[in-house]
Amino acid sequence: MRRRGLTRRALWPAPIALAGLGCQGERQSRPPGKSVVAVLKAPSYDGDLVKTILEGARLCGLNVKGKSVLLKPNLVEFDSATCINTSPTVVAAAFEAIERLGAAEIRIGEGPGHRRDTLGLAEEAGYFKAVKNFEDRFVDLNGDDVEKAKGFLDEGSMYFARTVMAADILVTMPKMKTHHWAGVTLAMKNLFGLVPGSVYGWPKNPLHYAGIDTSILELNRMFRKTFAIVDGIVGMEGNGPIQGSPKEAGVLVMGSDVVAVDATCCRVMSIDPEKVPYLHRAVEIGNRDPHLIEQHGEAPERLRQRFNLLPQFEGLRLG
Amino acid sequence: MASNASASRIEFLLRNQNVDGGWGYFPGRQSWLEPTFWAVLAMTGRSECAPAIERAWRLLGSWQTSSGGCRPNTAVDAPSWATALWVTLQCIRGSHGPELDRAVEWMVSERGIEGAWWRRTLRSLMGEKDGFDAQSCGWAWWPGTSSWLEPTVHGLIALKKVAAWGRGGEPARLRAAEAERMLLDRRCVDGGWNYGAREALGISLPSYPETTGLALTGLAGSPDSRVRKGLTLARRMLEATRSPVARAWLTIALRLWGEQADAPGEEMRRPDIMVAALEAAGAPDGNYRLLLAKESVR
Repeated sequence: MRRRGLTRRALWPAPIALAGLGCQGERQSRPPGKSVVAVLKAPSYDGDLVKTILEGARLCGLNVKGKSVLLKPNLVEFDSATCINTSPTVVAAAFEAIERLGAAEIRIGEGPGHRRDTLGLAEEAGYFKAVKNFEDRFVDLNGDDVEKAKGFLDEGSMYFARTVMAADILVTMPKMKTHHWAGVTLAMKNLFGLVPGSVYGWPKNPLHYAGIDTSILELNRMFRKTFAIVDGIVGMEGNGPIQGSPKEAGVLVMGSDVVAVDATCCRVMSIDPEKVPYLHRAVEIGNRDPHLIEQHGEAPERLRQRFNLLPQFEGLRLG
Repeated sequence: MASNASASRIEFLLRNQNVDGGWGYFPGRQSWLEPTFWAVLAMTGRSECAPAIERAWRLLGSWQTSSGGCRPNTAVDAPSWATALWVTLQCIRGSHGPELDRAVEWMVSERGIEGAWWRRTLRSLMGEKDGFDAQSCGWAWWPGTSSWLEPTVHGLIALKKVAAWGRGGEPARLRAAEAERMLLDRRCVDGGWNYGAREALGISLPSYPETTGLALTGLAGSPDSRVRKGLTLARRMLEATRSPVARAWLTIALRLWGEQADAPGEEMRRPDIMVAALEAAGAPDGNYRLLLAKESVR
């Protein structure tokens, strides 16, 4: 039988048929000039996070007025007491901030990678309590309607949740975590949750077979109208993204260039972004190097925390 | 007569059937094979549901491809793991035509790629340890990838039914036996099941209630004594978990093993098609028995 999995190939584009979330149809180059990244202190979840996010949005020039926005947190496990999921407090604050900035419509969507009860996950993680009318605003991307979008690897297409395709801006809201395959999981890796489990399963194994780094890059090449808000107030170190330990970093990192955001997060985590395989290859689509990033708020080195790494990732350490 | 819990869920399912005859994962969404299967299973045998089932049946039949496998919904053009659900439903209805044979052939030809000889050789040469018996493979969610617990459970249920009806021949019987070995091999240290393997990077993985319920459902009737530890764990998990999906799977599993479990409450917590159908199927008067190899409506 012909293999229908997503096969590896050099990352060449194909015209992308769908509008909405920036599936833009031509090979994407990195943004011209410098990329703005805001690194803002947020010592705890009890602070005024709406104000912090509004400040970050201002520094980064985020414009959502009249647009439909999809907030995409990282929802992984049934456990509100750990650092696995993006904090519901951060999601609620982002929702309020985006609302104040005049977005026409705000949805929250996630397609968890291995647990099937997405609404149950959201409930246990505290999302129902934190976000007003959460159930009306939330879309389980694993059970949503799907559409085919061209432009992913050899076979040229991949299915995505229709809610994703219909949004004008995707706000990727990961937790700042180490990852036992990719090294780190941040704004770019968080896009794995856009791929519907209803088609590809739990986990979304074709992404692994295509290569995790390649898939991260492909997804971020396809979805360009993004903004990142990284929850680094309490992140995860060690054997992430599930079995690691909490690590307080006391920071929110924000920006429109997800490569620049992930690179900045790495610097906060004492990791050299150039040594992280997917970021090493990401310079085609974003600015990774410090001289191409305009840092606002705090300098990353001032907030640097030493995130523990699994032994096989010690080579990623910032020198 | 249906219990109140079953009746409210069946009524919910009837009310939310799509125009094309199927059900989405949530009301008003595209129809998918998986929630349609569970809705049909839950409604089977209820006279008031017969027209809805016939509409669903026509839709499901239209999803079989020339390869024998079934598409998971109208928008997706590749056959998928959900073919197993369609095979199970054919057996439940006693429809043993050429469509069933073609679907079974497709299922038998599909297997997780981790069992491929070249892959095992490569891993061996690289000194990688699998942490599982790579010669016992189940089914993948997506062709050309690794086998995982859930599609393997559905494949096992389907092929056990096929074999019980004397169809599929030796290949189907052997494939079912292999799937059963795979499930038993991938038990976690506590006797339950994770969604895939029992360990990763040499570290034990936790078992989950929903996948433990699923595995015990697939293994229903197995004489293997190793299953007993999983049943003990499943009872504990059912007391502890609040996830409606997990509770539904554990309830179905325990009932199939002849154990008691509480019926779901009359009120549905959320408008979720899969949960409604699973809870209705797993109610004391539900159709959970139809998942057993020899059970059908004929």
